[in-house]
Order: sequence, then structure tokens, then C-alpha cells
Amino acid sequence: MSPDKKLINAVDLSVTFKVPSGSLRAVDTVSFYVNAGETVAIVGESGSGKTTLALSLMRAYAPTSGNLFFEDEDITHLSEKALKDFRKKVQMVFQDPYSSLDPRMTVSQVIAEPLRAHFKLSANERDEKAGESLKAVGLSPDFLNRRASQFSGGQRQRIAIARALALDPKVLVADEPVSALDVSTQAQIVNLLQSIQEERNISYILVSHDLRLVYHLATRVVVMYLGKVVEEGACDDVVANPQHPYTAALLSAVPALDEASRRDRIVLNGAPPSPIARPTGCSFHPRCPIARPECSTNTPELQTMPNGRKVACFYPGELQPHISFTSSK
Amino acid sequence: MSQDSKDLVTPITRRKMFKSKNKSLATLRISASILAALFIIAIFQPFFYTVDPAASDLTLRLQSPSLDGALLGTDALGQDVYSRVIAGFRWSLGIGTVGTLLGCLIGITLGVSAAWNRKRLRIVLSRVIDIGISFPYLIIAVTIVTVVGRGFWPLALTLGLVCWPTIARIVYAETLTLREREYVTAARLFGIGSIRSIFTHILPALRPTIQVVAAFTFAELLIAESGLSFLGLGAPLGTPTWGNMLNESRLYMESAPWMMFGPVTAIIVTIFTANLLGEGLNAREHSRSTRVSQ
Amino acid sequence: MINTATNAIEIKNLVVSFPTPAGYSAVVRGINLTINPGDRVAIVGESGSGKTMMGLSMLGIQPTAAKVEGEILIGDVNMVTAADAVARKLRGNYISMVFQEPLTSLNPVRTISSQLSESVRRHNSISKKEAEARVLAVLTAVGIPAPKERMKSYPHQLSGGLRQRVMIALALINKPQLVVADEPTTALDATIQAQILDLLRSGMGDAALMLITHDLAVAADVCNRIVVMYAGNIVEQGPVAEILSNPKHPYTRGLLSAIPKFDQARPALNPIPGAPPTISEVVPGCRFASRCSYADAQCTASEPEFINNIACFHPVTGAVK
Ligand SMILES: Nc1ncnc2c1ncn2[C@@H]1O[C@H](COP(=O)(O)OP(=O)(O)OP(=O)(O)O)[C@@H](O)[C@H]1O
Ligand SMILES: Nc1ncnc2c1ncn2[C@@H]1O[C@H](COP(=O)(O)OP(=O)(O)OP(=O)(O)O)[C@@H](O)[C@H]1O
Ligand code: SF4
Ligand SMILES: [Mg+2]
Ligand SMILES: [Mg+2]
Repeated sequence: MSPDKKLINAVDLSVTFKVPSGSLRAVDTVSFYVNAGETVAIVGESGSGKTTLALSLMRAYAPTSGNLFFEDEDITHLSEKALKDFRKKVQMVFQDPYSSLDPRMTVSQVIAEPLRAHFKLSANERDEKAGESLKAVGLSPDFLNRRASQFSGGQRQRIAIARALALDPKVLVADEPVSALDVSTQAQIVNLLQSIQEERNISYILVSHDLRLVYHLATRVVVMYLGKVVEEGACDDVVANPQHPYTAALLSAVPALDEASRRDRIVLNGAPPSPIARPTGCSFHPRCPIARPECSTNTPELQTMPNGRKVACFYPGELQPHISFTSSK
Repeated sequence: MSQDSKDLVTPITRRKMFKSKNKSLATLRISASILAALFIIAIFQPFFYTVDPAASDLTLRLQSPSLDGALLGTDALGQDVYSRVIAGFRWSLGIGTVGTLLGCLIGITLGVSAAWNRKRLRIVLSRVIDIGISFPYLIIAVTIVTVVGRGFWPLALTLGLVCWPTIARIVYAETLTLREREYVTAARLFGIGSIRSIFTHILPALRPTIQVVAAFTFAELLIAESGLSFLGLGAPLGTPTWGNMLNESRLYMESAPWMMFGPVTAIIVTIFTANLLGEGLNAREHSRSTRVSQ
Repeated sequence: MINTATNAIEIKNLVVSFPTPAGYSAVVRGINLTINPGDRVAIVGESGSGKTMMGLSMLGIQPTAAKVEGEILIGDVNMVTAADAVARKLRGNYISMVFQEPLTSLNPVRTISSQLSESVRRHNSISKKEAEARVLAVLTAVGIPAPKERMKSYPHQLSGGLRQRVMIALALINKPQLVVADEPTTALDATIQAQILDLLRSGMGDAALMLITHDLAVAADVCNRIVVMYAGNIVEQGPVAEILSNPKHPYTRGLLSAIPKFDQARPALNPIPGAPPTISEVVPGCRFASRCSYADAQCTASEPEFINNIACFHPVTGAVK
């Protein structure tokens, strides 16, 4: 496979939910792709549609409009039956390691569940495969017969990752995989995800609100605001030189150990608007520190800049955060 | 801070810790054993007869209870009340069991299907359940008796058709929340089909609830069975069932009150036991779920 | 009713334990801590170190199975022994809590506004209308968009971020003197976290804050004092600048180096190896010894005392990397 082959490719994807007060466009004409072996991070406000996007990339929802391709095949309207191969190659790790594992199942049942859906294996073969998966995430195969409910959050997340790896997927969608864990356990899981990627050349789609982690793991970043992509680019680039003021604010809001970052913080005024009552013009304008009058009337389109960066703002690059980079090189 | 870790481990009796859990376990054990005993009586009833329950001897009619004669007296046809009460176990427990199983089958199927489906089927099925709940059950009973006649299976069918809506509604409500669990979504995204997901994730999670509901339903059906037989809509006349016996005893309430005593005791003991079982199961489930949530 | 002149709360030798088959095991193992009015203290430590149990005991709302010993003094009331009525009066009015899981601590079948105004009216005799005005004001203050409409929502209709704001509103609505915030921003994204940390840092009037978190960066952001807990003990405490620039306890250093940084070289992260002891595990020496790279025979033989703001036989000096 050529290195730049698009595995998952979404074109102008929209997802609309029916809510009592009308309809809510949680994902609004988003284009998104992930190449083999790369890690694309989706960052953005709470409620900006990250989870909805991640789930619709997995065809958990049928998109309202737009198209979804997997390995160049259009899977937008495929039935569950026809999706079988896709379901095998694209796996997910959820945020909450407590509710994502059935508490009544043993670890071996948990890990074997996806195997059962796709292969006819004897109980022994399944156990063996489950044991291998468990080893791959740094847990002892002795755990196989214990119930998932007996484990700590970090161990459960390892089990969830083992389950996702059991089918040897090409893409792993991880929705906030470490945000329920404490800092030290986070570091363990992040290192684990990284070493798995090095071994297996899996692509990751990483939903996270922790930009420190995103910087650490991702090759490319997609920034969402109110269901739309407002900025996209190579991770290094976006962090070092954010173009959209929201990205700048997001970066500057990272809790920092150093005084200077904290002092020069860009604090956003106001609150995120609801996707039901979307502001006119640029959706970000009510909170934007550099908004001009035209921002409330004209809508900035997502434009591709010469270096391949994409940004939806009339004044790209104007607002810059203070970030303290370190280098251990 | 300087405390030795040994100081921090103060002894506590096992008994205190498990007291409340033990109590519910004891309830459960006792009620389950009694119910098992009742079922044994029902299955091996010939061993418990003193005389043939069908044998009637008009010379011995309306005898009062005595230790060397009829243990619980005799009825208007001179049949032995004790042996007839024993014979009634098979009928009553059988009807209760079959009715409950049928009700669970219908209730679980409809409840789970309604909750699992997100589209039109859900609306249709929820309406069906609502209608089922408000449907007057005597109408079902009268209809079935008119069409099929009286007997064990018509009555079991009637009771099954009467009790499923409550079960369906409880199952429906619980499935709705279970369906939203992340592990259920996860299963779907692994490519696991609805049926398999229901069997691996939903039904096992419903089991404790269903056990509790089934125990209470069983108790209710016993009452309903007696009631229907009493009204002449249940067992064929002359069949030794508690409801029929009650019905027959009505005329002799003053002259032979013992005719009532046997069946009433049997009904109360069985219903009480089934209710106790339901409560025990409920308490056990409750103590489990609080432990899990910690 | 109570004398609040000297400190907001004083904790003396607090022990919280749970029954296990082997007897009671302590999850908070003899803690001493004083919080002054207006103080902002961070309690930092890994999952399971007893932070939440300490917080819950301070309000007298620990799980029923828990046994609490020692003193928790609010003025001259000892929350450990106080009568229910007294403790209830202090909760909300004097000390309140923002919980870790907003969804499970809000009533799912009642609207936001009815839950908030009930809390106002429980402590103040004011009309329903006045209570609702106050609810609206506090919801606006914690940055809930379209608060008027949101008031009528049920908790499950709100996103995680909004639910956490509702929880903070609930904690602040009776203008308490001390707010215990248990991981209030764990589920939130960066700009909202920054706003809420802002709110906690400077939007709480005179109320003192005890912020429970596992992220030293969050602690540094909001607080002026950091208390590091490990497996039920306080192992180090000090002013923020001191802890960050010169952490002495190997555990504190481990926590600091586990935080991902904007490091262009992207080296592998540095987790602390292993896991903390389980609550019923009896550890003869320092409870951190098995994971500590400085541990020696002394560390595994006896438990270090908490002296000069640190509990370690081999305090380290200098900044972390
Ligand atoms: N099943 C649903 N029905 C109706 N609205 C929904 C549904 N799922 C999500 N939404 C709405 O869609 C929007 C996007 O939600 P989503 O969960 O994707 O956000 P998110 O970016 O993942 O947020 P968070 O960081 O809080 O997880 C929100 O306004 C949410 O309320
Ligand atoms: N009801 C309970 N019964 C027995 N043990 C309990 C109970 N509640 C908590 N514990 C134990 O008490 C210890 C301390 O728990 P606590 O919730 O205070 O930790 P924490 O520091 O807040 O962790 P986290 O960061 O995960 O919230 C844990 O080991 C936990 O397993
Ligand atoms: S378009 Fe205007 S309002 Fe929108 S982000 Fe750019 S400057 Fe701000
Ligand atoms: Mg989400
Ligand atoms: Mg906690």
C-alpha cells in the first residue's frame, strides 16, 4: 500500500439529529481523511461534534448528506451486512473504560467478542488469540478468566485496547481514550498506543481535548467548532503557528506549569453558542478576540493555504498564543 | 501520618459486614426451598394422597376433620379435602408456571423488540403494550373459554395473555437504558448483529429483573387462577383445583367451614412464598448493584 | 452560629476506612491539613489515593460503609461527630462540593432549575420567583449559554461541559465559605477548562477552595498551595512555585515528569512504573517504595514520617529535567 493512500475518507459529511426544538446539525459538511499509519487528531469545544464525527466515520450513524469512503469504496449507504469487512478493519476505543466493557463478561469473553463476529474459532483458538492481544497491551494472560469489573480504570482501558486490536484493524478510532485516567496512567496508555502504532502501522483517529497529548501523538490536527472544521494542518505547524483564533485560544488554554504561559493566556469571553442557534457569519465571532464587523455578516469558508494548511477565518494567523516549547534533543 | 499500618486495620467481625446481605440471602434460600418443596408435592402428588382424591363416598359427605379419618374433612360429595388440596398443587403450580413462562416469553420478546428498534416498530409495539396493560382480562378469559372451552391449557393461555404487558413494560424500560450502554454500541461497531447483541448483552443484564418480576407474576397468577376458577371460567367443574374447591365450599360456609380451610391455606402459603422469593431476589440484586456502582 | 475567624477548616489526624474481609482498611491514613479563608489548596494524587474520600468526609457525606475517625473542625463544629441536622446546615451554606461525575450527582428526572432553586430555598426563606432569579444569575455567572432556556432542561439533555457548569452553579448558589471541587474539569475541553479554572481561581469571592485533581498543571494553574497525596497519606506539601521548581518527593517528581509537554523531540512519556498498593495491602515501609527509583532497605523497612512538609527518607533536590 502506498504511504499516502486514504483509508477513511469523508467528503462533505453532515449528520443531523432531530431534537424537540427542530434539527441539530452536529457535523456540518466536514471533509476528513486518514492515511495509512498516520494519527489524525480531532480537537474542539465540548459539543462541537467530535464524537459524532468519529462515530459517523465508523458508520455508527448514517450520514444525513455527504459520502464516506473506505479504501476508495463508497460505504455511505451500505447495509450492516455489507459493512462486515469495514467493521473488521476499523475499531474503536471509547472514553469511559467502565461503561465500554460489559461488567458480566470475563476478560476473555470481552476480547473474543469481535473475534466471534468475524471468525469461526474454537474456544481454545479464541483464548489463545485473546491471550496474545492481552500480552500486546502489557497485561498478563492470567487475567483472561477474571471479570472486567475487577480491574482499575487503566487496566480496563488496556483491555478495551486489546479488544480493539484483536481483529488486527487498520484504523483505530479513539474517543478521548485517556481522559478518564490519571496523569501517570495516561502516560502509560499513550506510550502503549505509540508502540502499538510503531509495530503494526495502524492509523489512529484520536479525539482529545488535551492538546499536550495531541501534540505528542498526532501527525495531523483537525480543529472543530460548532460542527465545522475551522482549521486543519500538520500537527507541528498548527501548534507552532495556529492560524485560526480559536486554535490559538485552545492552545493557550492548556494548563501550563510555567508562569509565562499562564500570564499571557488568551481567555475567550462568552460561552459556546448552541448548535441549535448558530450565530450568523463566522460561528466563532461572538467569542473571537479579533472579530471585526464583517465577521458577523460574512461566513469565512475553509480555505487551503499555499502550504496545505486549511483555515476558515478572514484574519488568519493574527492571534498568536504564548507557548513554551521545550526540546529534549 | 506516623501511624503504623497495623493500627489502621481494626478487626471487624465477618458477621457484621455481611449481615444485611445474609438476611436477603436467607429469605431467598428459605423461600426457594419452600417453593421447591411445593413443586415436589405437585410432581409426586400420589405419594402424598391419603385416599384417591376423585373417589367419592356419599355416605361420608361433609365429615369434619379428624386425625384418624379425613385429615381436613370431606366435601359435599364425600371426597377427601386433604387429598384434593394436594391434587390442586399440580394444577395451580402448573398453571402458574406455564402462564408465567408464556407471559415472560411474550413480554420479553415484545419489550426488547420495542426498545431495540428505533423506528416505527417501536411506536407500534409500545402502543400494543399500552393497550395490553389497560385491557380488561376478564374479556380475554370469557373469550377463550367460549372459543376453546375450559381446561388446563385454555386457562394457562389466558393467564399468559393476561400477564405479559406488565412484564413487557418493565423489560422495555430497562432495555432502553441498557441499549445506550457504550458496550452495546461497541458491539455493534465490531460488526456484531442485533440478535447476538441482545443475547450476549441485553438478556443477561435483564435476567435479575426478569427473575424478580417472574416471581411476583407467579404469585399474581395463582390468585387470578383461583379467581377465574371460582367464577367458573377456569378449571372444568369437579377438577380438584383450589379455586373450584373454594367455589364449592361457598354453599357450605356455615355447615362445613373446613372445606374452605384447606384450599385457602394452600393458596396463601404458595402466594406468600412466591412473593418472598421475589423480594429475596430483589434484595440480592439491589445489594449487588450498589456494590458494582462503587 | 460558628466562629470562622481563624481558618476555614482544620483537619486533624483524619482516618477513613472501609470494611474488607480482613478488617477495616484505611484509604485515608491520618491526614493533618488546615485551609485558611480565601486559600486555594490543590490536593494532587493518583486515582485511588483517597482524595475523594477526604473531600466527602469533610462534608460528612462519605459512603455509609466508611468509618471516619479524627477531627474535621469547621469553627467549633467537628464534622466527624456533628449531629446530622448541624452537618446538613453547614453543607451548602458553609461548605459545598463540586463532584467528579456530574451526571450521577444530578437528579435525572428533575429540571436543572428545580434542582438549583430547591437548594436555594432549603437554606434561605425566599419566594420561588426570587429563587429562580438567583438560579438564572448563577447559571449566567458560570457561563451557560442561553441560561433561560437551559434552566428547563434535564441533565441528560446537556453536554458534559454544561453539566459540570451546572454542578458548579449548584455549589456556589448559597455563597459558601469553602468549596471542595473534585476533578471539576476532567471531562472538559481546554478553553472551557481554562474558563472554569479561571472561575475557580478568581470568581468565587471570599470562598476558600480545595481543588482535587490528578494533574499538577491544573493545580498550579488555580491554587497557591499544593498538597500531594499518595495511597492515603500526604507525602509532600508546599507553595506552588516551590513544588514546581523544587519537588522533593520522588512521587511528586514522577507526577511532574509524567505530564506531556510541548516537546519538539516528542520523547516517550515518563509514567511512574507499576501501580499503587491496593487498600487492603499491608506495606511495612514507605507505600511508594515499590515504584520508587530511590528506594533502599530503610524505605522498605519503616514508614517515613511527615516532617518539614515531606514524608521521604531520601528527599531529592533540584528541578525535574
Ligand atoms: N443522539 C443525539 N441526539 C441529539 N443530539 C445529539 C446526539 N448526539 C449528540 N448530539 C448533539 O450533537 C452535538 C455534538 O455532540 P458530540 O457528542 O459530537 O460533541 P463532542 O464534540 O464529542 O463533545 P464532548 O467534548 O462534550 O464529548 C451536541 O450539541 C450534542 O448535544
Ligand atoms: N464504598 C467503598 N468501599 C470500599 N472501598 C472504597 C469505597 N469507595 C472507595 N473505596 C476505595 O477507597 C480508595 C480511595 O478512593 P477515592 O475515591 O478517595 O480515590 P481518589 O483519590 O479520589 O481517586 P480518583 O482519582 O480515581 O477519583 C480507593 O482505593 C477505593 O477503591
Ligand atoms: S472570521 Fe472573524 S470572527 Fe471568525 S475567527 Fe476569524 S476573525 Fe474571528
Ligand atoms: Mg465527545
Ligand atoms: Mg476521586
